[in-house]
Amino acid sequence: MRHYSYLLLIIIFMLPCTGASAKDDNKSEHILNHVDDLFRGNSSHGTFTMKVTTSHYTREMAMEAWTMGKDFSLIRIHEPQKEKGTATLKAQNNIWNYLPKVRRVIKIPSSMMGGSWMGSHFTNDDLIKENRMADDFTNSISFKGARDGTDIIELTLIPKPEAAVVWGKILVVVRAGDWIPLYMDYYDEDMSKTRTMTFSDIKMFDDRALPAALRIIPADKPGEYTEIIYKDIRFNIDLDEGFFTLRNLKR
Amino acid sequence: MSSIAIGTAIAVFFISMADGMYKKIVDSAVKMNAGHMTIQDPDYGSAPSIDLYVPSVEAIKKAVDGIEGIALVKTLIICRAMVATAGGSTGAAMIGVDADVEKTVSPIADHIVSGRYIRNHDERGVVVGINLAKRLKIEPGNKLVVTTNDTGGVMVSEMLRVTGIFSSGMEEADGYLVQVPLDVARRIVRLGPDMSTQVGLILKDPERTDSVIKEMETRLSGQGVAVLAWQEIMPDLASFIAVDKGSNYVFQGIIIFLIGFTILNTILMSVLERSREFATLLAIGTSPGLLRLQVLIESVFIGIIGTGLGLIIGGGISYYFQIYGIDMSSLFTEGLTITGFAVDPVIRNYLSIGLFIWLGSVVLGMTMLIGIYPAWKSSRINIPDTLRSR
Amino acid sequence: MRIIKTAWRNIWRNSRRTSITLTAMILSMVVLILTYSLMRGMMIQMEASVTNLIVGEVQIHHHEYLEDRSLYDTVEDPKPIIEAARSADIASAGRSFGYGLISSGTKSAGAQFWGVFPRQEREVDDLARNMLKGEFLSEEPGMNVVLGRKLARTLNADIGSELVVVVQASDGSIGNDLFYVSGILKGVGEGIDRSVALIHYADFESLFVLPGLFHEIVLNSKGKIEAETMADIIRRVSGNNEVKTWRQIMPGVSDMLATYGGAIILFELIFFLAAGLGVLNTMLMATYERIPEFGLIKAIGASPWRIIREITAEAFILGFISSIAGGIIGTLLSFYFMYFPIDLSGFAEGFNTSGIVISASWRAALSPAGIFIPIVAMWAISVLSALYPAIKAARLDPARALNHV
Repeated sequence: MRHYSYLLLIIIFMLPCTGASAKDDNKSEHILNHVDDLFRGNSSHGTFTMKVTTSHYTREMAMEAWTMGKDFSLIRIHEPQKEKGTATLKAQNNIWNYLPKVRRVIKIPSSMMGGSWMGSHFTNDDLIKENRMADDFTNSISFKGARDGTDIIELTLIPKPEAAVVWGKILVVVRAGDWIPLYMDYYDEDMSKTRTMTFSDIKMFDDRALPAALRIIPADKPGEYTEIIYKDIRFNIDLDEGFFTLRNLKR
Repeated sequence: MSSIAIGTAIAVFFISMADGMYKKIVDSAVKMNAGHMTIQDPDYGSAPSIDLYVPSVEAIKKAVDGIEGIALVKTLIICRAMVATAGGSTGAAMIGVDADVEKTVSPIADHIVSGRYIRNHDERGVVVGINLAKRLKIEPGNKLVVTTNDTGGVMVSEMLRVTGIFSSGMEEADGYLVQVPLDVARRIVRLGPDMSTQVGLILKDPERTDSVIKEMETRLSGQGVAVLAWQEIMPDLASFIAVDKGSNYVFQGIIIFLIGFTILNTILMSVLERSREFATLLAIGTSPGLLRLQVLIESVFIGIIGTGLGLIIGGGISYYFQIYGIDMSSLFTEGLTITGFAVDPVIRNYLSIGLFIWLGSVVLGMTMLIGIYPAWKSSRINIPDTLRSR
Repeated sequence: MRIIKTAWRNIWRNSRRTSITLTAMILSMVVLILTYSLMRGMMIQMEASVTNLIVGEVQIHHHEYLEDRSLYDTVEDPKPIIEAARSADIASAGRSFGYGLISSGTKSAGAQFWGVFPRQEREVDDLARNMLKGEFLSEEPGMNVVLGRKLARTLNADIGSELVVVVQASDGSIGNDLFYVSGILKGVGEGIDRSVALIHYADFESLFVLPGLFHEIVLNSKGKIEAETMADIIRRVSGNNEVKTWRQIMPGVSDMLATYGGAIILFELIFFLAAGLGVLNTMLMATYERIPEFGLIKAIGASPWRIIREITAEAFILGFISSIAGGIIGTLLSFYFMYFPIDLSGFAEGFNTSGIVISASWRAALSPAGIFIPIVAMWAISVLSALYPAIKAARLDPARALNHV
């Protein structure tokens, strides 16, 4: 029920892995890959907080995460006290949760992937998605120029006919200069906006500039949102598969 | 005699009505599942999993060849999955079916309320239950992304397009069931073209279930599959039918008992009425045995005619309703479900030779038994007293 | 009075014939009463199983709860409702519901958790008495859970099994804890069997972080007050909440019971018919047999009316005796089956269909109507059925009658 990994993966992975980005080439595919690569990496280790505001509650959690490629990740919650020690391990296609209060590990079955993740506005689709946007969507530049005082490039993504994605359309807006994403609008098949992801507070992390704040806002619930704020991240650290084990999960 | 006829007729009618109802319920249930019998991996029943599959559907079809009374062979692939749209996601059961076969039998195919049922060559077709559609806010033409584990344990996702929405009246199906063509399911979970989770047989005559199972077990031994009767797959339904049948028999038994008593009364009376006649016969030398026999034969005669008449009348009425059915749907505003299976509330009687034979012999037998006492009494008349009295 | 005396004498003149007639009529009577009370017993048990097992007679929810089952739609201000129930001597119980994951280590499944008060549940319904294995929850919270039959099977769980429960609490945090299976329910209904896990209300409170709130209040007067009436009483104090009777909550079941009820009346009519025919037959034969006798009486000058009167009087007495005697015996037998129900467990252990649980023990239920109507009816039938032959006899040509065999 709490399947943390994937989207967290995505969130955590606000890091470029390939290093040099072809900023002078405005082909939409390159831009998309750049954004995608922001979400992937060889390995990383970072800490961040997640704040969830719904009509019933507001919660803040502090977490630490290790990732390797797109197949492995380990996330541990440090705050609040009630959840301290709770951890999620994703190893290839399996997800396990460790619950410190009862000192048990449970495996999450694929059919139980319904519902929101950790009470936030992220969906399971986000969590499980592994594919690159460029692979799943046909993309094109739909707008280049200034909007709200910033020079931006807007990409329109339409799902390819056989892609396993639930959306009807995604709009990706990046900064014209460095291709750092500003926001993404997700539309359902009937072209009504379902949610928006915004990126802000660009800072230096390790050796690169990244948006430190990511917010996801559902279109049908005004006032509600989930926000992730990065404290620090380091990339290309020394990790191997042996780190991502159930034993480590329980520690 | 008329009472025998009426009572028998009533019994025929109600028993055949009940039989018809059971047949219909079993029919509906069996068509929702694999069939009157299910062939699956021996371990599948206790721990269902996509990697416990039937290795060769062809082999089973070959084994079935030559057995009489098989109406259909159903092939099923069953997986637990998550289905998602932009509007939400939920757990569901995804069943791969042979659309051509299902079209003829499935209650799902019969209750499409929007769009159309799947076809075997649909590359990405799926039909979903109406409650599921409401929850995920989808209509025919919309996308549905299904995520499940394949036979290797790897999580896989695929996009499907809803061809139609069904409303079967069964809560479980309408809220948690999606159906796809067999090959689509095979592609998603990586089962070979000859594999499936279950193979089911639907029989023309459900009474033959046991004998066909035995036959199949022999033919399929050594192939690593188990053959289960529907009663093992749906024990609740089997229970329901057993108890209902039991109470029905009690009631019919009471009716027959009442009849029996009337018969006894009648025969006895007729004997007493003819005391003078019998006394005369005895007086002139007829053997008591012969007299008893005569009375007995009379009872038997009445019995035969009465029973026969009753069977004919009851059978006739039942047959009428077997053809036309009694429509009880106005009584069930939300539709009728028995142990979770939707049943069409049109009751059709079901006459069987067995019923006629059984009922006929019971009533006849009872008539004969009852005739014994009066027969015996008839020979014990006090001859002089009877002749003397008026 | 003289007529009665004569009739009585006439009846007993042919004691054998009379005894047979009486026996037949009494037996019909007994069967009639017995079958009615048995069928009525089944009806009552079925209806009671709906209301007394889980649903209760009336339920109260937050006015939006039944639509989307949101954890946050709890009953507003339940106090006046509970007070009203108590003063009307209606048993009440509060329940909370939430969804989550339940895992036995190797197997996990989605489950609907019910937070209940064991003592109140015992007053309001029979759930506690429907255990397949183990025991119902105890009064003190102790991290125990009672599982639906099929859920237990899915989890491969047995008494004492340890289960991990993970839910999303009302404050968004992850509620999780260990529970131990104290009991498994018998089959009570598809949905419940497959996904319900019952825990103590206090355990539910801490798991879901929902202090002192309910999603449902169940009321049950165990038949003392009619459901609709009860709903009206409660509506006066329930404020914005939604009050529903069990028929509104489970219309399918209501329909099914109505059909069974109809079937029972049909059956009873048939039995009536059968019994009535029997009586008719008996009286016909008895009268027919005496045609020579009537011929004689006529021949010596009796008026046709006299014959009719006489026959009717006899039928009257016969009817009276058999009705009363049959009525007594039938009633006694029904009482017997009220206290010693028929055991159907040879057939099946009890099952559920469309939400009605049919138990394997068949108990009879008498009602005054079930005794008096047959008595009066049979009496009437016996008198009426003697009339036809009586009239025939009265119209007889004495000579022909005398020679009638």
